[in-house]
Amino acid sequence: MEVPHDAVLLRIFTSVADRWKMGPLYLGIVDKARELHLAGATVLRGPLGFGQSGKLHRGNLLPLTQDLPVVIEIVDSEDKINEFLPVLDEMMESGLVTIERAQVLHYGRQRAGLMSRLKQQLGISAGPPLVH
Amino acid sequence: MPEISEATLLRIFVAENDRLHGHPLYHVLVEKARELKMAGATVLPAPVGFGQSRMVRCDLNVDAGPHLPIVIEIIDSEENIARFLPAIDGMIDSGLVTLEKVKAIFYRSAAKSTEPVAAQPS
Repeated sequence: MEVPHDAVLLRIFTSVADRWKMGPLYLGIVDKARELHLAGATVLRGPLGFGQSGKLHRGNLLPLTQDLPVVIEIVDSEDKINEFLPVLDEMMESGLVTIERAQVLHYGRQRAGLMSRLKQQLGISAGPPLVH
Repeated sequence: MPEISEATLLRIFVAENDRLHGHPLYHVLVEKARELKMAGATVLPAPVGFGQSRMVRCDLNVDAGPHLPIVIEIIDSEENIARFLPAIDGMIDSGLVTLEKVKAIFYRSAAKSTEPVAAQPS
C-alpha cells in the first residue's frame, strides 16, 4: 500500500464509553478502517476532557464506568479519507471529526531490516531485500 | 456527506506537574475552557518529551518524577479560540501554545446533551 506525499490527517474525538454495535466505537472505527484498507489508524487515550455535553470525561475508580476521551488518528490520501467519511458518518453519534493536510515522509518499511544491515557490516553480499 | 466547517485547533503543551493555585495546570485549563463554553477539550499524556529546559522527561526515568508532557487540545471556531486565549494568558508559566487551521465535523447528539433538544438550532 502506498500513501502519497500530500495526504490528509483525519482525527476523531470520541469517548471510550461510546458504542458501535456490540463493542466500543473506537474499536469499531479502527476495524472499519482496516476493512476498507486505509493506511493505518492510531488510538490515543486521554485522562481528561469534555465535549458538547459539557460533562467532564474522566477516569473513575469503578472500571465499568470509565468515560475517558479517545482520539483516533488516520492518515491516508485525500480520496481514501473522503471515501471513509460517509462510513464514519453512519457510526458517529456525538463527537468531533477534524481533517488536516499532512505531508507523509515515511510510510511502512522502506529501510532494509536488521539481517541485511548485519550482512552489510560483515561484508556478506546481501540478496535482494525481502520486504519492500 | 457530513457538513464540514472551518475551525481552529489550539494545542497547549505543558508538564503534568505544572500547577496553578495548587491544582494541576491542565485541569485548570480544561475547567476554564468548560467555563467559557468552548466546544470541547481533550487532554493527551505523552510518555517522553522535552521543552525549553532541554531536560528529557520520560516515564522510564524515575528521577524525572511526574514531569511528563501533557497536550491539551481545544477545537472551536476562530472567534471562540480568540476569546479563550486572553483568558488563559498568564496561566502558562513555561510551555508552548500552537494554533492550526483545520476542517471539522461536529457531531451533536441530542440524546446526550444536557440542554433541551428544542433549544438547539437545527
